[in-house]
Amino acid sequence: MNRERDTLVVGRVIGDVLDPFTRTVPLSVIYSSREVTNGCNLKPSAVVHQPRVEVGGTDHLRTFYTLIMVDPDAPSPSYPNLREYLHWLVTDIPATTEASFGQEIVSYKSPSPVLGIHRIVFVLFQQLGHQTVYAPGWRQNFNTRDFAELYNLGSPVAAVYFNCQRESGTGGRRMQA
Amino acid sequence: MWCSFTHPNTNTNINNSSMSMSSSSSSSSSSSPSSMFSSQTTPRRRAMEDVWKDITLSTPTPHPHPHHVMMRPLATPSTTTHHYHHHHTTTPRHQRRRILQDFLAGTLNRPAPLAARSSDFRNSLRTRLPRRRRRRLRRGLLVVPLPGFSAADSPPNIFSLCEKKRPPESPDNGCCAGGSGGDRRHKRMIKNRESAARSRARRQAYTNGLELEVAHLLEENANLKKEQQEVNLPPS
Repeated sequence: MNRERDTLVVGRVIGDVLDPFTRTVPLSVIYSSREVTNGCNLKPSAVVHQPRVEVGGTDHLRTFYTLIMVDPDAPSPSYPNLREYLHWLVTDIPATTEASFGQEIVSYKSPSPVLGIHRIVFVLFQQLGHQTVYAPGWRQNFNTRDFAELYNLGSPVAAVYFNCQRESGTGGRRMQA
Repeated sequence: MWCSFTHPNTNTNINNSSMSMSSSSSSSSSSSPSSMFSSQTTPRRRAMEDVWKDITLSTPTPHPHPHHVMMRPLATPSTTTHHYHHHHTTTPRHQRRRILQDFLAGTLNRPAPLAARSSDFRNSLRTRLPRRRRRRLRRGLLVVPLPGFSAADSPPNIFSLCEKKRPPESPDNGCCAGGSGGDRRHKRMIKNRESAARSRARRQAYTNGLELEVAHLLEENANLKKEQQEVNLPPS
């Protein structure tokens, strides 16, 4: 795939949150039978409950994944001093299964942006084996890169993101015709 | 298993240091010099007192009572003591905190003669009073925990961090509307540009996603049609 047109690059997810990587594992994030595609828009009301996250891979007996959900634009995209805000952290997800089969380290907190249009990013890492992951003390100022380095997760194997703004948002347009 | 809270140490430390700074300076002009020094026991206050001592020691000023300069660093002539004290008691605490931090940040960066500094100080006191609304926003900025900020930092680091966090404002501007207005406009323009760039990136990412999906669906359609043909007309 042409790197410059990769939606993750264009949307600056690769850059702000992740380093360039190669997709090797299919990842599907589905909110109430609506699948998330890169850059799509979802309202807070649509993402209140945790989604169904289907993970591909081949060997469900030996391969485990970690799923991280962060908001790099907290509290506002033009002043993201809480980057990244951790919404969900699940580890030990066996391959070919869903996130509900894993170990929820940080419970799902639904995105509810107040200012601006936020990107909400799901990142999937492959674990070396079963590992003990400690929850961070707070959700804000989480760093996915550092976390991956700390637990030797290596490069991501999949990522997807969507845009989310407050329920009554105008879609970034102030003056409506 | 998990609870949500902001980092406790940074906020309280900033608040504590600011309050201790304000209270010590307000008592400086009314209480006796010895009591002011004896009441300061926390390490933060001691560091500040050291800084002030350094200022006064390094900048000899023509003053009739040199020991007064040592004990009351914020007031040089006696008349301005009352003036400063009056302002000091009427300004809200968060304004006082900012003014002191400005003073110290400015002093730490470029040591200037004490007489000049106190006049800037007086000007900044007078002209900062109307700008209350913006002050609240800045105070919010001040107490936000910064990434990598630890309570173990020495006091001068805190001041420089606070200074960095606030938008830069030259202390030499008395009541400049043109200069800081231009700065504000400039900053607004930059922020607007960034926002526009993000909008463009968002739109482009969306159309990218759509094009990819179209390509994917077309391929799937073609494959399914081929399969259907093969089912309907199996090769002989």
